[in-house]
Amino acid sequence: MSKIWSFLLYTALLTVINLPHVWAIFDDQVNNIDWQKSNIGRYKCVFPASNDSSNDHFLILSMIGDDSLLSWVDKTSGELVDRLPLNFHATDAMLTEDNIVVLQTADNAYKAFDSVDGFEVHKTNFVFEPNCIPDMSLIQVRDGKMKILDEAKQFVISIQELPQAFNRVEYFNSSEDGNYELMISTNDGLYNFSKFENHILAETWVRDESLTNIIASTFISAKDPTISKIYAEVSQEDSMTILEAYKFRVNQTLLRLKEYLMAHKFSVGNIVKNLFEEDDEATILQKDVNFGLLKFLIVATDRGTIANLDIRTGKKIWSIETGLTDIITIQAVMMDTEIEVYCKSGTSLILEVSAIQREPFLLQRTQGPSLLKAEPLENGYIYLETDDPGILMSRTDIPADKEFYFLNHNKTYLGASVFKNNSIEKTWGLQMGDEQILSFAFREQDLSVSLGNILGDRSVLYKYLYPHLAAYVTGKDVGGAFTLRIVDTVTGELVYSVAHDDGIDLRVPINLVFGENWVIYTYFSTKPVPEQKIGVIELYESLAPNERYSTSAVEVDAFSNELKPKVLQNAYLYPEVIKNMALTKTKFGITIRSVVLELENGQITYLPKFILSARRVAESQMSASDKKEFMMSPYVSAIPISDYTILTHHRRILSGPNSLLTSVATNLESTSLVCSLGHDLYCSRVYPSSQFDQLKPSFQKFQLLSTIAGLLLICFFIRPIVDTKKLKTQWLVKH
Amino acid sequence: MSQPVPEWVNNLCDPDYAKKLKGPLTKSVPSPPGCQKHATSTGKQNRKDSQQKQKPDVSILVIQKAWEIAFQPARSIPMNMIVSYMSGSSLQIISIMTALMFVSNPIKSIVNIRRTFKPVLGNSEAQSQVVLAMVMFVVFQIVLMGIGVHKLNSMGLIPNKRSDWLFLEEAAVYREKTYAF
Repeated sequence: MSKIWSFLLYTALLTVINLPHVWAIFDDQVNNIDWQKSNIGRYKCVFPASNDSSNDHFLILSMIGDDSLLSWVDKTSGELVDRLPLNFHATDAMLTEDNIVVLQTADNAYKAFDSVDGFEVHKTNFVFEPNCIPDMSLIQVRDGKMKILDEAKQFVISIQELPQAFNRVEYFNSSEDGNYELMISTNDGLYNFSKFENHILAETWVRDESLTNIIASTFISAKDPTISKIYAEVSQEDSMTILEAYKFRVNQTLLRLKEYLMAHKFSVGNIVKNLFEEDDEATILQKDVNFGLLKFLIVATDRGTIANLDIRTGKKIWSIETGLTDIITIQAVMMDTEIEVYCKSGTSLILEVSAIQREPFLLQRTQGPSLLKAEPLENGYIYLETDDPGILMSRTDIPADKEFYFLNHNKTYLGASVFKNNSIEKTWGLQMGDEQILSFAFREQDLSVSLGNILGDRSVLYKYLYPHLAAYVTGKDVGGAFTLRIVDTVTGELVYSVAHDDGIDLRVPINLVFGENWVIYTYFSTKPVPEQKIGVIELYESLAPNERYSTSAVEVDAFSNELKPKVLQNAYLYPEVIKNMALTKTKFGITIRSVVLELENGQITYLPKFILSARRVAESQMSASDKKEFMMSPYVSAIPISDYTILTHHRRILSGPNSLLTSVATNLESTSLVCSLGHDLYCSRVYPSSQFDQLKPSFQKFQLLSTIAGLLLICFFIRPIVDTKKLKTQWLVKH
Repeated sequence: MSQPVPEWVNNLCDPDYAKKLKGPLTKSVPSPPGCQKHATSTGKQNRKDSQQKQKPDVSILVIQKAWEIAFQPARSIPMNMIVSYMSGSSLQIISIMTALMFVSNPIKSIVNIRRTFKPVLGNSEAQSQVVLAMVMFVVFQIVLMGIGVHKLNSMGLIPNKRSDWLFLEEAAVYREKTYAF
């Protein structure tokens, strides 16, 4: 009898374990968490990529920064096939008989490229014919209508309504009457291609190039209605006694349970089904809102387009044309219900965006003095630099006891000022002389999670956490050398300086970031061999462990601060040229800090801070306890690029010069959103310490729950058997 | 015709024959191996003597037993040291459990010391020696516990370093608020 039972139970267990099928694994998150908007820019020249009619690609010449960009676009779908950034400015282009693109440079030189594969070729035997202006002899544009004539120019074969913002005809090619291809552009950056066969529209597509060249951006978090509800409940509890509050909370929870059951119509099957179902769209949206993954990216282009993008997918929610071509700052204020836009010319706009999904409306447009800078501060305050020092503006009254210290910089000048009694006064300034400020970074002001680094023997190396620090790099135009200085932003005291003169190439930008007690800078040096280098400076209270000099929890005045840092320094080699650098931001700052690097080759990668450490030493100098330190490894000068840290995987980001590389925290501590905004737009998520606060999509919820249920079921059957057996043993009864 | 009764039969039946016998006495003859002298003697004096001899024997035994109990934990010291060394200092549930057991088991044994020494307690003569053995027992248990504590310490589970209390330290507060751009 017992054998039969055990056999049955065994098979039941096996079935329970093997029943659930294997769930899909979503480990490959390509295109799920990142998106890229590959732009071509404003078209300068559109022509077929080949004289061969079987080739259905367009070649488009446009600009990226000050240089030209050659792009191949599929004629049938409008999809971008490839892009070739050039290192010169092409003013005109032509296609030769043998499918060679000849580009005319600004100084009337010519460069030739194969029109199919984009390789540069040597070609001299040609006569240059400008090709960029389409043949308009058969087209007439008048009163918002376009007429297309037949080849004899006698009859109108087609009349088309033009869009309101019609700009010009980019491309026109008529093979015979009734068969023609036409591309028109609008002022708001749309390129509309249509192909007619026998007067009938055969193909049409639109490319949206309106979001090219982002010059300012801000993030708006999606509002979570449940949070405000919970906040209201918690604040209500605050006014009660403990017992009452407890009762209140239990009641609220019961109420929620009731609502949940009512929503599932009190059916267990319904609840179980819901538990195992793939999340529907509404649940995913709710999750994204809860986790803060849904943010709205507000961007402004150099042509005055302000657009709102869903940061998860890059989908354009709305866009408006402001006509302002010199926007410098966008700031979300009033609890993210309004956007302020500041322009160099002094124009400022206030847009109402409390319903973020709907197009905003203009609340106010003001004209002030022309601006050099507009820097958002806390509480919607903004520092406007009209002159030195600037002015502090706010929509609300600034309390009289507010006191701020500012350190402002431009290419040649470093100037500090203080805001006191509602006015700004200059405090100190520094002219750079024959040098220029090449890079500037202000120390992050987030609170430190830990006061020190914990060493391998569990002693503490105290960080120098004085907050009023900034770092700047100066160098001469000719390059060759630069100096990095760390200064006290309040007193102007020089805290530390370091000079490099190993043949610095200033064509590659010098990037600088200042974390809590460390500065990371990148530069390209040509001596002894051309190489990308990354320098790290770390500031400590003392270089001996367990020595702390700063006073605990005592308010200190910057002017009486006598504590000076002890400095450690290191440098590393990097295999790729670094174009831009940013720090990852997370909600609480517990996740390992990482440096996001945008490389010259169009990739974006990240390096954890523990790799770029100033305390790494050669292995021979490390003691056994040194090796025990968290994530400490011996010093190796060359940092390899790990394929796993390339955020852009197969993508190539052409961000152009002056692109923005920003990071924004989500509600998940592990996750940080990173965006590169410029010619192209790219956003992705970074998990510097892996996704420790989120279950993997491959987590087998069904298997886990069914195993538990199976075990409970088995217990339910086994229990009476065991009870009978016990009773029988007591009565000495054999089976 | 009755046969004459043999001499040895008469002798056998005569209870006093042995006394009449001349020659070597039974006392001078050594007892066979395994037979004790006093087993045959029936004197009261002898019995008293043996009782007096027995008493110190018992207390010696008690003391012996007590020391045996006391040295029991000492015997497991080398074993524990080897186990503690072999299990490594990585933070895993098994090694943490072993280390905690090394600490908790001696405490349990010390608490239960009276039960452990119950068989040897109550002998007033051996009392002092037994107490000494108990003290040694505690000492050995403490040594055992030391191994466990050392193990916990090497795993970093005892908050005795600066970094363990770092979270209680507060940062200095700087009065000014600055912005740089």
